Amino acid sequence: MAERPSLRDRDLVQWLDNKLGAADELWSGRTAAGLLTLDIISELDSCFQDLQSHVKLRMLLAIPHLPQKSLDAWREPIDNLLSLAMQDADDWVQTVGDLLKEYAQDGTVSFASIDDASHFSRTLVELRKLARQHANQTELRLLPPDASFCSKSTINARFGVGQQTVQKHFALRRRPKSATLRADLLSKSADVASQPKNRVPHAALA
Amino acid sequence: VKLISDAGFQHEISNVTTAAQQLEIFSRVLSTAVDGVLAQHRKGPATDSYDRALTELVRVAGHSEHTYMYSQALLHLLAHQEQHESSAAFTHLSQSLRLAVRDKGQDSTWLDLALLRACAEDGALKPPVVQAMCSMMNKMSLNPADMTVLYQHFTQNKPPPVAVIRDPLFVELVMDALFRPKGVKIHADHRPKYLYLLAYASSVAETVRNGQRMQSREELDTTKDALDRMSQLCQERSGGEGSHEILMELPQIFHALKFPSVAAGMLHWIRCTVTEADYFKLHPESVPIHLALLDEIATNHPLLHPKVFKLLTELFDRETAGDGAVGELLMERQKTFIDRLVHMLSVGFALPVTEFMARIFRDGQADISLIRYFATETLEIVCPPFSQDFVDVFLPLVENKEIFDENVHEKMPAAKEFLEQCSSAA
Repeated sequence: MAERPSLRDRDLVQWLDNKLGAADELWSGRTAAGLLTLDIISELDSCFQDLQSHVKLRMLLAIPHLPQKSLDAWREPIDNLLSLAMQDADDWVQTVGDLLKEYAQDGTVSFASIDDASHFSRTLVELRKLARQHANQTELRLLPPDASFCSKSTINARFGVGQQTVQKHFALRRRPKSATLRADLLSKSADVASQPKNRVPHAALA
Repeated sequence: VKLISDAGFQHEISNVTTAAQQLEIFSRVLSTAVDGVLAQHRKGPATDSYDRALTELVRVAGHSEHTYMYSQALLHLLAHQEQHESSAAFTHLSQSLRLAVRDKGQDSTWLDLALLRACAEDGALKPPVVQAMCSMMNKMSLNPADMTVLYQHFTQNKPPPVAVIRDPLFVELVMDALFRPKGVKIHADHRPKYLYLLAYASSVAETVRNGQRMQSREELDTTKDALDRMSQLCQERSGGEGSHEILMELPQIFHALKFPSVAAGMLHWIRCTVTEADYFKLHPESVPIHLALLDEIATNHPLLHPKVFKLLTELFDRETAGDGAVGELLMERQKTFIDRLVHMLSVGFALPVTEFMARIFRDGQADISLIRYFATETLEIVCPPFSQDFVDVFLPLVENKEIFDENVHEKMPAAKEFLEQCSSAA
């Protein structure tokens, strides 16, 4: 990567707006992380508020994509940057700053700075209410994708339900053709296994 | 946009970019999208209306990195704070969202681990574990050194939260390593670690009592043994080989398929096997044994239905698109797929299957006789009471004059009974 000029104040703002301002670059934390240097983060202390809001967001989302050794070494300027974000006039910048507040220190998302009147808290209440409404109207029976490979007892330990209840759309008059196929295959299997030359089972199953 | 939003018409705001600019409006649009998925959950994953609602949620929440982070933070926190069905539903939304953005090439492992850490006790997630996971998931490739780090931490008395390795994307990679036919073999020194981690992710129940995380490892060894046996069996039976041996070992395979992780692994092996270009040339029999195994997986594991269904519909579409087979042979093969779909319908996946058949009829993707075959096979096995959702999607097929002529009543008592039931209920 070409060495970055030592940019100050307005020049840095201009440079970052150019680099990270593209409207269609919506997932650019990783790209932004590649641009960051200690020099830039430190300089932002004085000119962060001059960036456009979406460029501020991209700078903040660069933090989790930094290598651990940069996070450790640049802790102070990163924390300063996050403090500025947490006081920003833009709700988005403020909320992302709140959530990333402890990232450099602990690698964690933090909910500690979210206050009850925030959009985050209000949405939390709203979503909880929605889930309860749906649970009351019809039985909520969504299990996560990971449950598809997990045993019943693990699902039960997590969610207090053993298995996804299958909604009945009809009764079965009789079983489909697949049932005959299954029986045929098992009987063929028994025939094959009973032939003396086949008696030695596969090593993997022994 | 703010005025439309204030008036309560969130669903009218179709431009996410505009909505995403203001947190307040975005939050309302997000709530509306979540509400949409929860409203459609009754019909279930893989139905048209559910998939549409989920796609909308992905469009809204996955719009950009900060909207994604905000949405996932909410969903994770709710999954953690809520209990039972609500917790399961939020976990479902959060994971589905993660899988969807991964399909678009975005890796969000750092965020999942940061959120897991936020909800776990202090010190539960050690930096080496986080680094091992992030490094593998970022490249979407496993390596023995990072797997060894995970293995060491998960064999300790105080292991990290099981959710770390219960990540569906990670498990997919481990399954691929253990079940892909003709895959690169894992070195014998490392294979036990892969097996252990997969067995741990799928069988160790974790509960929190008085703030203490506890693990129950009762099923760990039996799960690991079953995975070990079936992984060996699968990796040694690649492509067209070994149908005879599979048949011989069928009772043991059926037994092992009761383990969800084994079923998911074998499903991966079946997918790799049957989608090989020459598979059906090598298996001219009317029902190749791999397809028969799909029935068993569907019977035992409702949660694997979407994956089995996806494979079958892909095979069906591929054959229709002209994959060498012609005329009668093609029809016979498609009937075999339809038999598998009817089996899925019989074990609880009725709506997606019927919607699929209605769609290929509507789009003229299949010979009418195949649609008639599906409807006949279905009528033969179902009887009242019928759900309204099922009637809504199946009745138009039975009533359609192109599929059944007007004398269907006399020819088929089951059709008569179905139509009578529908008209008396109306």
